[in-house]
Amino acid sequence: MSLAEATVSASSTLQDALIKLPDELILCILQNLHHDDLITLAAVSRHLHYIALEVLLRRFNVDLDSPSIFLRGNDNSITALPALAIALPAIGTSPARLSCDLTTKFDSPSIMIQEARALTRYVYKMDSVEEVALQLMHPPFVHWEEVVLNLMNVILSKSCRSLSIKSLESSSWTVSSGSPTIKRPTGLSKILRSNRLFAKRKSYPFLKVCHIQTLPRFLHPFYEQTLNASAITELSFKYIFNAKEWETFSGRITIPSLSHLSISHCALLASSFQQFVTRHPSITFLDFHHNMMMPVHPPRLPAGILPQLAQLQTSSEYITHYLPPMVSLAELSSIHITVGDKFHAFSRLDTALEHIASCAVDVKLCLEFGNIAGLEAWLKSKAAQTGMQKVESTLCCVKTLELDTLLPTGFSSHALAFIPQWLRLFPVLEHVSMTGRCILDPAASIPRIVRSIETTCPNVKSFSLQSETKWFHTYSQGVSLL
Amino acid sequence: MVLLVTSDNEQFTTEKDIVERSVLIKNMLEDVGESDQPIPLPNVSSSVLKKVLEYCEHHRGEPLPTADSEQSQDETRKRTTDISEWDQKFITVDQEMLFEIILAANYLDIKSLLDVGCKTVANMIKGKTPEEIRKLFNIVNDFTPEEEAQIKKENEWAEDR
Repeated sequence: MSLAEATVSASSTLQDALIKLPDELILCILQNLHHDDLITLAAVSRHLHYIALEVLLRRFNVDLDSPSIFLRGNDNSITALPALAIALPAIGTSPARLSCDLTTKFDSPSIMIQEARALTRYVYKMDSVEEVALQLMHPPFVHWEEVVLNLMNVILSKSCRSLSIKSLESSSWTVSSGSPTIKRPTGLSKILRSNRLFAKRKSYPFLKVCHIQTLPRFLHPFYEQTLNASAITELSFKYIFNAKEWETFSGRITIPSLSHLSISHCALLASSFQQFVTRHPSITFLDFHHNMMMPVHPPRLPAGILPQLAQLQTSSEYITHYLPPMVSLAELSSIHITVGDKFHAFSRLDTALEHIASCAVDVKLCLEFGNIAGLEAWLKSKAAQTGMQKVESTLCCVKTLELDTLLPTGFSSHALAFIPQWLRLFPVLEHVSMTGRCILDPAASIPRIVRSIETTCPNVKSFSLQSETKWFHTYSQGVSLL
Repeated sequence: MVLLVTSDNEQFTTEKDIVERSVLIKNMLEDVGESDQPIPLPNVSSSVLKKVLEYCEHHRGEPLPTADSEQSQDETRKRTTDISEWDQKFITVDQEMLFEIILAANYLDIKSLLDVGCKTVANMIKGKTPEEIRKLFNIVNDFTPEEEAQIKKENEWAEDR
């Protein structure tokens, strides 16, 4: 019997036999289908819609009700986008976090456009989304820009609190002679066009955090409008290599509510940075590292800049040469220094510590080491110097000291052995904590270290050593000395 | 010999190793032990049971699939088209019978037959448009106009003016 005959005979005897099957059997049938066919099925009837989506989303490891939705290339979850775009069960969802990598099909701008559109439709279905992280590429197609801007507007319309946009530039696009052509869709859909109205709104009251990585020109107006019209408290810039561009861009931005500023791995004109922070005296937290300054040795920022700064996260050279004099930072309470893996990082740290010694207030100091061999050699030379009665300036402003390393090897036993002597630099020290793996046997060494710390720093009240390794667990609570 | 009684009260006599392809019957026989009592199958009609027994007889002696042979979904999808020639002929039946066979295979717990049935339905769905699928299976489009707009495929959606 042919299929057509079968259909006729079926319709005469029984109705919708397929959807009358128990759900588990429909699921069995649907397991055998490719996702394109499942998406088609999802448009057949409500019942099949929900079953087809369940199969699709499970296949792509996406759970609509999960607080965090990750759409990435490594686990294929990005392939769920066409399903999410049409998913009725996505209506009214409120994920806390949505993270989407739209760069996985970087060789096919037309697929990227489809994905961005599908994401727009998915977000459009949500009630709200608190945090959004996007990874984008920017092929030089006018239509792509339109699609991305619409996506941003839809995201902002969902009470988004934190927006993080990482964008990768692909050189192949910027120099393409015979640029690839994409069929331009005829126009925007009603839904997209109704969303464009939102772009005219005056403020974005929910947006508090914005992370910006690279600044494609077409996004400048979006950022400018959004940042200036919102109550952003946290702003970060990363990987922005065009200093002139940042100057123009940052010059147009004033955010009275800004408290956290992070700039790293950027090329910066010293003057434009100075203007920016001068316009933002409300900054209490500054993260500033790995930036290429222009000129290479810029004049130090004058006292009076960053008057509210409480937390500073940076590397030694910015303390010694660029940031405002430590004594002028009256609100400072915590300094975090990343000590790089280069050998000269330690001589720079010496100088930075001398500057910190001039702090007028008590600060918590945190040093993060990226080179333990260097740390060992440095501590050893310190120990030798004290023998030669070289008087170093002591840091009477530091009561709490944290020593961290993220290196998998952790602190060596040599480094640990020298640390108590070095702590002589901090005569008023009360709390010491170390984080990072240690390779020594804790039961034997901790009491010894604690004893030597007691002799060098009589005020120490607590010492803690936190380690990832299990056998350190008993010490992760710290040893209290009273 | 095993005696089976269908929903329409027809009796079928078959051999143990044929009918044991059904995990349900196999378990029943194990529970009951040697007995001349007929096994009632109130969910299966005689016409369907005839087909099912035809299937079991053909596959007589083949190893039963193990319960833990969970295949990855990729494999599952690849298997779609590979229904053996005999099975394909066997399953070329009208829709009513096809769904009855699927229900019976599920009830009797004959995994390989259930697979053949499900794959056959999947193959009927493949490559069709929603409207064609509705026609094929007599399904009513019960989306509201608002839902209809939400579920439009990407290309249709983008070009909607």
